[in-house]
Amino acid sequence: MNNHDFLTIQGLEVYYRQNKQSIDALENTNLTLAEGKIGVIIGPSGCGKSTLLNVIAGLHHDYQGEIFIDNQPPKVYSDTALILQEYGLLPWKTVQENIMLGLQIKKLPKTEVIHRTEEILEQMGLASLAKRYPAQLSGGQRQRIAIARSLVLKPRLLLMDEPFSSLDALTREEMQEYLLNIWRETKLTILLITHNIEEAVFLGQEIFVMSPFPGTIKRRIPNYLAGSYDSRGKIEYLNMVNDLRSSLQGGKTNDKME
Amino acid sequence: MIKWNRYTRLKRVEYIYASLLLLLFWWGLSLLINNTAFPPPHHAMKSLIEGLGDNLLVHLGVSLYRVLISLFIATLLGVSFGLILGKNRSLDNLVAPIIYLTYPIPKVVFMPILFILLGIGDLSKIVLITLIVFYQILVTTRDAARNLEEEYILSVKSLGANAWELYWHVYLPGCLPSILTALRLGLGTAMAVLFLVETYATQKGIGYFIMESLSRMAYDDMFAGIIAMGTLGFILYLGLDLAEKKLCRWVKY
Ligand SMILES: Nc1ncnc2c1ncn2[C@@H]1O[C@H](COP(=O)(O)OP(=O)(O)OP(=O)(O)O)[C@@H](O)[C@H]1O
Ligand SMILES: [Mg+2]
Repeated sequence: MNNHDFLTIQGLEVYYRQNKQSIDALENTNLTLAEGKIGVIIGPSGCGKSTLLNVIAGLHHDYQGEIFIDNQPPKVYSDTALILQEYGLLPWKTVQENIMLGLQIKKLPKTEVIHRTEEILEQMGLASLAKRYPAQLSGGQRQRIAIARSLVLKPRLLLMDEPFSSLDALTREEMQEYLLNIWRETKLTILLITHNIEEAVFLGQEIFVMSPFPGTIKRRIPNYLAGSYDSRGKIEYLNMVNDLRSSLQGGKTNDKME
Repeated sequence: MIKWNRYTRLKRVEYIYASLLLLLFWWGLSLLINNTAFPPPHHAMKSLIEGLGDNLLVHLGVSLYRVLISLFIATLLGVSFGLILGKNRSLDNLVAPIIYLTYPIPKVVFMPILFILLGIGDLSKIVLITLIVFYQILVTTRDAARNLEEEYILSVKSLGANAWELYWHVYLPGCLPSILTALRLGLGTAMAVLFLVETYATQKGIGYFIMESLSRMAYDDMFAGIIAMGTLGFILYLGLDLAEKKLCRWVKY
């Protein structure tokens, strides 16, 4: 294991048991991500992306192989935050109460819970939404609140399952930049899932391509174009997008597995 | 939920207007029937006011006690078991057949048995009402918990919540609208069963008051009792409305 590899996954296998049948969701999956990097997982529907994220988040203990986050297994490691596709905000709690929830579960003293919640709402420019319920927010606002709810816990690893997929194109680009800004400020390690090739190239410093039947990571692509707005229209960028597309379609043979 | 709100959330004027219309209808009907067994509303009202000064309040109090205790126990048990079953699939698979089989049995048939086993005091009455309402709340709560979005559960789990915190922050509030709807239906059933159990082997309760008036052919008193019982149910209903307004503000968005 490399010393600076913050997240390492080796020979991961995950099965789902259903009606006495066992479904092979992930097989021999390997992944490493250095601290402070943004990794993007891309792959066809049903290839096990959410499964992989849930295992890393410690929600699914039934796996074989090794997973270490900062040298600790997911069950022990507690500085992970997970944001799901529909954001997972509780409709019966206000924005403020949703953000407080994680801190309350961590059993922090009440004054600190309130202080940190106000602080993050202020920092992220969301204070005016504090008393609203999630149903009273736009998709982009909900996403921001979900991010705030994660960041208030000061995590070191942020996992996001198709975070921007239900947003319209404009809001989506806005949110991608929003996320990059947060990353620049916090230097969080982020691992996110997307179906969108352009998004993968724009955000992913490391891109992991998954294939189905059984699900595994078949290719890892380091991407030096990530995060730069200017490169979006350039030849290299388009090349990368095309490369990724053909890789996803399974046609490419010169896989540069590293 | 929306339907319920439309039909239950009335404005004050609407209450008054509906009550007046009802009284008018009653009055017209009494003129039409023209029989001492169906007195006009003002006779019943007069009797009601006299009764309240006398012992009607005691009967009402006893009934209120019986129905409230029953609803309380039924809700406590029904919600707890419902949430536990809804959360734990394997346990539910074990218990579901039993519930499925016993659910359609009209539980009132156990009344004679309960009278024999538990005596003719308050206990048997409370147990019967509780049993009936418990089933309604149990099944509704379990189904609501089963159908709760997986996403809410996963996201709160990922915050490190234990089972107790999941119940408290996710399952209970998420199922509350359904629970309150079940309670509304349960309240109607509870009042009906209350009347039934109070017509047997007791000297107290509004059901007894009504049947006793009947046997004395004191029809004004009987209708005073009916008004009192209806009002009791109505006030409890309003209480549930208030609870919903307070606890489920998020539903309307
Ligand atoms: N709870 C479960 N029980 C049984 N099988 C499951 C369960 N969850 C997922 N699976 C199966 O495991 C496989 C991987 O599912 P997963 O949700 O991880 O895919 P995904 O890559 O996230 O797909 P999508 O892009 O559509 O979200 C699928 O074949 C799915 O049917
Ligand atoms: Mg998925």
